[in-house]
Order: sequence, then C-alpha cells, then structure tokens
Amino acid sequence: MPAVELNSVEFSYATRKALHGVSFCVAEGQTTALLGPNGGGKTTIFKILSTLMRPESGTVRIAGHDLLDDPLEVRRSIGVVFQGSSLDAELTTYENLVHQGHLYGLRGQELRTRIDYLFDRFGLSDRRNELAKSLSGGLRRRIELAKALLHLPKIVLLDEPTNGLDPNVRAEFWSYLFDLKERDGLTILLTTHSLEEAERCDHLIILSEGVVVASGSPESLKDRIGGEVIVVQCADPEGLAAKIRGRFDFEPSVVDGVLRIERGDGHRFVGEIMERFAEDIESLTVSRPTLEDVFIKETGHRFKDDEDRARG
Amino acid sequence: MKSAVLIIGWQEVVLHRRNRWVISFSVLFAGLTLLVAYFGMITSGYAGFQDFTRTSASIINLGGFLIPLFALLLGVFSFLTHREYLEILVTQPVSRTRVLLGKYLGLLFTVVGASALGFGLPGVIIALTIGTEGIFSYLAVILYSCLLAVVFTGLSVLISLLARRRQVALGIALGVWVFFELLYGVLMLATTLYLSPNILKTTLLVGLLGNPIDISRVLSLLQVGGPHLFGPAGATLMKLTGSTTLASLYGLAGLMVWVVCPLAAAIFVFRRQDL
Repeated sequence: MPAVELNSVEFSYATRKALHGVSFCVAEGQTTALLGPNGGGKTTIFKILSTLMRPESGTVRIAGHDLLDDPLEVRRSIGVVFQGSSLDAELTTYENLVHQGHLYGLRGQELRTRIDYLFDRFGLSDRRNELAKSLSGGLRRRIELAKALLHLPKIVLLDEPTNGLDPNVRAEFWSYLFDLKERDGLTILLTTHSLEEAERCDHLIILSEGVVVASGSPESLKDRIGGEVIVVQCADPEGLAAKIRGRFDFEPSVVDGVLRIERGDGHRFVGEIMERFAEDIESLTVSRPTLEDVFIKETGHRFKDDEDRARG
Repeated sequence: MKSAVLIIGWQEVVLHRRNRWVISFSVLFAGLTLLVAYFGMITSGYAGFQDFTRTSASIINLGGFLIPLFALLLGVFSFLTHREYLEILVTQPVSRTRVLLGKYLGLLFTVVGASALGFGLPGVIIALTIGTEGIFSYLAVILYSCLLAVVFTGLSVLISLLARRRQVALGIALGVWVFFELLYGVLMLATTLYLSPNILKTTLLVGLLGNPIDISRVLSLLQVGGPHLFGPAGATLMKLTGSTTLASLYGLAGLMVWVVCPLAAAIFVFRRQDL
C-alpha cells in the first residue's frame, strides 16, 4: 500500500487552475520530493495533503485513509512542518512541544519522555527553556521537526524545509531527515525547488504548471536522457542547429537561446563539432545529465524560466 | 477529544499572556477608569473618588468605546498575524469547529479578562477608599461591557476569516467600529426624521437591537437607574416593556443574537474555507 496516493487531483484558485489531474504515489519508507519551480503546484499539493485545502476533484489517500472521508485519521498519520515557523515565539521550546502533545492527548510522564527523547535526538536538550524567538533559524527548524514527530506519525510532510537556511545548517537538517528514514523507517514527503536537494531523495515527482511531468529516482530520471549533454553557446543557435542537423544524424534542440544535444556518446562528437563549426561557437560544454536537463527535456524550458513564468 | 477546545483555548490564553497589547490595554483602561472615577465631578468643583453609582454612570461610555475596539484589533491580530500557527492547528486531529471554538474561547477569555482587570482594579481602589455603596451597579456595568467584548470578539473572528489578509481585516474592523460608534447613531437619527410617528417607536426599538454598543449602554443605564440618561431608544424600550426587568431581558436577548450570529457565521465559513 502506498503511503500517499493521489488520483486525478484538480484544484483551482479564483482565476487560475493550479493542478491539472495530478496523480502519483509515494512508497512507504522513502524520501520523496515534489520538485518544481515556484508556481508549479507543489505547495498546493502540500496544502491538500496536510488537509488545509480540499481538492476540487480526484481522490487522495494517506496511510490508507481517504482525505475527504476520514480527515481526522489522515491528520493522526501525518506530521507537518510548514515553510514558515508555526512555533509560538513567546513560549519556550519545551512549552511549544507540550502544547502540541496535549492536542494529541499526550500527558504526564509519556509526554515528558517523548519530549526528552526528541530533544536529545535533535540536540536540543540544552535549549528547552529558551524562548522560541531567541533561537536561530536552524534550531527553530529542528524544533518544528521534533514537534511534527511528537505523536509518532507514519508520514512527515515538509514544505521547503530548508528554505532560508545557510548551507551548513541545511546539510545538518538533511542528516536528521536521513536518520529518520534509516532508523525509524518514516516516509518523508517534502517540497523543494532546489535541484541540489532533490538529488538527495529516493524518489522525485517533477511538477510544472500544475502537471506531473516526470517521476522516478534521480538516477532513473537522468538515465532517460542517456549519456551526455552537450551545451553550445553561440550567436545563432537556430542556424547552427540546422548545420548540425545536416551533417549528423541527430536532432539538436534550442532551449532559451542555447543549443543542446543529448547523446549517449556525446563526447565523441565534441571534437568534430568544434572542428567543423568553430567559427560559429562561443563555448561548448559536455556533461552528465542533471535534473535541470531532465526538466528541460520534459517541459521544453529551463527550471528558472518556469519560475519567472509563474511569477508572471 | 472533548477537551481539545479547552486545550486550544488555554493555549490561546498562554500566547496572549505576554502580549504587550493586552497588558497595555489593561493598564490604559484601568488608568482611564481611575481618572474618570476621580475627576468625574471636577466641573462641579469636586475632585476625589465618586461612589460606585456615579462612577458606573461615568464609565459606561468609556467601556462602550474602548472594549469593542480592543476586541476587534486583538481578534484580527490573533487570527492573521501568525497564520502558520492556525494552519498547524488545523492539521491536528481536531475538527475545524473545535479549532475555531478553542481559538475563540481563548481570545474571549483574554479580552474579557483584560477588560475585567481594567474595571476591577479601580473598583478595588474605590471600595477601599469610599466604601461599596452602589457596587452592584458597577458590577452590572462590568457584566454588560464584558458581553460587549463577547460580541465584538465574535465579529473580529468573522472579519478575520472573511478578509484573510491582515491589512484588509484591520481596515474592515476599524470601519465596523466607526460605524457602530459614530455613524449608526447619526443614521438612525436621520432615519427617524423622515418617519411617521406610528412607526417611529418600532424603528427605534429595531434600531436599538441593530447596534450592540447601544444595547449594552441601555442595559447598563437600566441598572444604574437613570431614565433621564436614556436616549430615545432606551426611553421607548422602558415605555413599551413597562419594567426594568422586561426591558433588560429584551436587551439581553438582543445581545445574545449578536453573540451567536457572528460566531455561527464564522464556524460556517471556517469549516468550508481553504487555508
């Protein structure tokens, strides 16, 4: 049974359709990322999964429970970490967790034991009496995570969890997520627009303009491109593409003014291309495919351009 | 999860206990009440604490002026300043109705508590200074002012849910306050100028029920016992019902409608709203 299952989910804001029949599954015990530019639909999906919004149509099942028929059971199964802080700044870290525990019916020794365990595990024991407002962004994130885990959920949902954190703190936070997966077998579903972070996940669901454009492990997605990507900067990419097409038996593409060639044996053509079209070429790089290349292949445009388009 | 409402409510109270707005309001309110109680008869050449009856008559307008504003602003700030906190509550295994009721009760406890403190501290000083004569009038004024706090807390929740954005909600909240404090009376007065005498009384009574601040004011005046202080609506109410008790019941029923309707509407909206 998948931990999370969406079937043909649609959602619209007042004037804009945000999700167009989105379907995907998240396997138990995996770290899965909803990857997409801003405006791609991942936050809308996150809000639906965390029961803040209802889908217009389609079905959503979490831990075997239907989101619309059984929202309370869904909520018992999930721990949620929002992008913004949900901690009360005027309370201590300990008080924040106590309040959370009470809402799940946890009290007394059981609650204290769980809080102590989580504080210990996330290196927060010496911060228990500090006001949440006095903590750094990284520490706050850790408390948010501890808060989400207090009731022992099966699935943890995180919305852009490392947004705004510096690289060291980000790496540290990821080490906690890996640990949760490895030691506790938790299912982790997060949203991100960081290609670098997406590489760390077991499974990716790539979204663009409210549509799932690809899904799979980072490696399998990159393997679909096959081999290598040659990127050529030149003054007239369309003209050069026509010349290459005439000389070789493959089809270059032009994406946002840059000529791209995806070939399993790309490196073999580099010398020949340089030799024949040296006067047309400003620069040429050959590299293994990245997730950005996957996104370009599936959508026909760059990741950043999609964000610009979403911003209008 | 019977206690979920109370847990969320208590959490709300804890959140507000260090809120400088709440503390400032209590101090300001207590200070103004003391000033009114002490200098209320300065124009008659007397400076010093008045007894509870005179103080009650003097502070009715103060409560009617400040408490609705405080309830409206605190409610909007509470619901819309820290949106993630509300969102995380909604992801707990608690129905939205309970989440809203919990937030509402916590907010209400804070507003009523701060108002009661603002009235209560001067009350203690007056009692210690010149005795407790007329204290029941004072307590009645506190009670009706607290009911006003209940009404406007409900309105603030409804406004916050409908407006969704803090600036918009603050604008609407201030508009509602200005309307009930200033414009409503002017509109009623203007309306009555054009009415025939046979429907004037009905209009005045309905008009009285249309403004919770007026209802609270009339209820307080009924207890303080100053028919000469009534406005035309209050005088009509007394004349029609014939007794203070019936007039008070009529007014209380009107206030109850104002308590229940905004809250019921807020629950209706919140249960269906995408956050």
